[in-house]
Amino acid sequence: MSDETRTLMMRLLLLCAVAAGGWHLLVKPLHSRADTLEAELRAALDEVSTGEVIINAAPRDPQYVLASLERSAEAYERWWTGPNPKARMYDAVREIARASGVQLTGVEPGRSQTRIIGEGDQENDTLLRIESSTIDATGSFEQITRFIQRIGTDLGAVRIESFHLGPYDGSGTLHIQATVTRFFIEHAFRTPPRQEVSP
Amino acid sequence: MSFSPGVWRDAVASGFRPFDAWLARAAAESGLPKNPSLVVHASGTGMRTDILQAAGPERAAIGIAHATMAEQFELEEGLFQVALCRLDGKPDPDSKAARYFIAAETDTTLDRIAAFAERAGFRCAGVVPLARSHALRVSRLVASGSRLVCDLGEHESIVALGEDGIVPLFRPFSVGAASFIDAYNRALEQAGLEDPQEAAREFVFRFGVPGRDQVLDESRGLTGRDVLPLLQPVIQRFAVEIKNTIRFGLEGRDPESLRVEMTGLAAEIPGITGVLSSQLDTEIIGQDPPEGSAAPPYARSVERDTSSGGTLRPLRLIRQSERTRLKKMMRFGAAAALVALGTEALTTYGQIRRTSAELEALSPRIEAVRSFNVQSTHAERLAGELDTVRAAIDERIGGVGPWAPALNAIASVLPESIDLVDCRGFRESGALWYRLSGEVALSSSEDRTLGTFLDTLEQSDFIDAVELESARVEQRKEAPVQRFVVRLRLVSIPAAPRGVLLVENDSGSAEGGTP
Repeated sequence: MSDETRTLMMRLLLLCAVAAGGWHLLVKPLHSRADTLEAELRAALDEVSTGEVIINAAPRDPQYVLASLERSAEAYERWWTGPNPKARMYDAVREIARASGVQLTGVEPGRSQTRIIGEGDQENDTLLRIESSTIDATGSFEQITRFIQRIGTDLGAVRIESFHLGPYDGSGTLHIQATVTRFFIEHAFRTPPRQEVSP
Repeated sequence: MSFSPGVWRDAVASGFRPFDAWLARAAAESGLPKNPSLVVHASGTGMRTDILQAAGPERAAIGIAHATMAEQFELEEGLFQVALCRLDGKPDPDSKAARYFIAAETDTTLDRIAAFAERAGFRCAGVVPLARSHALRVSRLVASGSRLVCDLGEHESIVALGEDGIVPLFRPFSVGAASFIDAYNRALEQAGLEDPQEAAREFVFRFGVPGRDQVLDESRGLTGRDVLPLLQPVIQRFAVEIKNTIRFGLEGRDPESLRVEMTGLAAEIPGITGVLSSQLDTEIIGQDPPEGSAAPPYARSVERDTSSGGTLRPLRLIRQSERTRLKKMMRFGAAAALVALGTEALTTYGQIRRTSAELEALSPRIEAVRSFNVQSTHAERLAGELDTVRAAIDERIGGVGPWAPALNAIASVLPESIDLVDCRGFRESGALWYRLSGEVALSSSEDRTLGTFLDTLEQSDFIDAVELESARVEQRKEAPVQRFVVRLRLVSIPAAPRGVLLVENDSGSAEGGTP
């Protein structure tokens, strides 16, 4: 093989190498990018076509449904925390008594207990705290019925276990002794608040 | 420019170096651009010729020609190159073979010719053998019709028979115009003319075969009588070759049935046609020389053909040409690769832009679908958590009774004759109960006040059932009284915050599913 032929062969090899290098550096990344975009487009088209079928078939706007559910969840939260979550039972009952016009003669705290609702998973379990109290009050029939009504509605998640209503003295004043249980639920809702959806 | 055969032989042997100055000067005077291409028409260099009959494609004929000519070259002469010229317009219908004229020259000689041209500043494109050009011209003369052609060339003549495109007879022999010029050359030398080469050429085509007493050069007293003895052997040999060719080559054909034509330089030598006609005892038709042609007679005896198949090139030039072609191909390949890469890159870039634009156009719809998905998932989770909470509340709290409304309902229907002395509210077996104790002042033994009261209570929206636990009549001073204890089972209302029941019904709509 002559020098000139060898040189030509070297040039040919160099040309092939440059062409291959150029393809590798310029065209191949473009191909990869084009393939990736093509795959993204196919996936997006699939996602949109499937999603829009479901959206069109959905009976209601999920935003509306979600808002309703969130309102329910908030209502439950308010319900078991009561109007003033930090207030002690006595203060809350006294406030209701004042609003109802009865004379509160005593609030005796009863036993308190905590229960776990769930499968024993500490992170996900919901805690149910139960506090019992005995309430004594005097007032007219109207005041007493208002007091009972407000205990059931304004004190939060309470259950009137029992009560005894009887005459207090001969003046027509009534006496009520009621046993109520108040329920607190902790970690009931873990679904995070809605976030902005990025495309 | 004419040379004597001796000068030419020496020039060939020395690689044409004696002509270097002349060719360089000619090149300079021609005014051609730098390094012009030059095709050298060559003869008298030891070139070999032959006739070949071969079937099949021309490529196969070239291979056979190489094998044929290998027998003619000595081993020490080395490589040789072969040029072919197809004589037949179509293959022989019987043998299916075509007839080819082969001209071959040693690679050394061809390289010397090429080097000779290169030393003068030319680029040698190849060497065209004059014998091949001559054969090509004759083959074209006999290509149509049916005729026998006796063609006189510069150094050799050809007798060829053509029959409708087939050339069954094609025979070259080494008598040509040069033989006539040599005869005149010797006559002029004898007449005392120095270096008579040019004059001899002129005399041949001016006087040809002169009459015995015809004056050719009055100043030197040269007449036809001086030339004819020298011309006779040439004419004789020419006639014999033609006669033998016709006799042995026509294979039984009647020569008189053929049209015999004298062509080539012979047609330009005055008197030759008549002399040969009488010697061959056949009418020979001479062709008139071309009018107004400026080309020298030897040039008119050849066919211009510089096709690659008719050009001989030394191995050095072939390789050089191959390398040049390879370089061109490489340049073309590089350019093509560059264009292909660029086109590919541009096409792909365009595709990327189109796909990006489509994706961008699709993004609002994707966003809507994803937002729907997130909200649906969120709603499903929250609905599940609400279900858990409700289940826990149902299990732990159960129903909450309408304690106050029921109490109001009792008070509103309580007759004046009934005096309630005790009221207890409690839970029992998951149900809500009122236990009322009281007494009725009976007006008579038929008094139905308690029964009516209980019936009225039973119709209340807040009371499910009324059970009379005990009823007993006591006789008092004033009047009899009926003491009673009744149990009222209240309706049970699920424990829930106010306004949530409506939302509970809505939660079912979250079952849109997650795409």
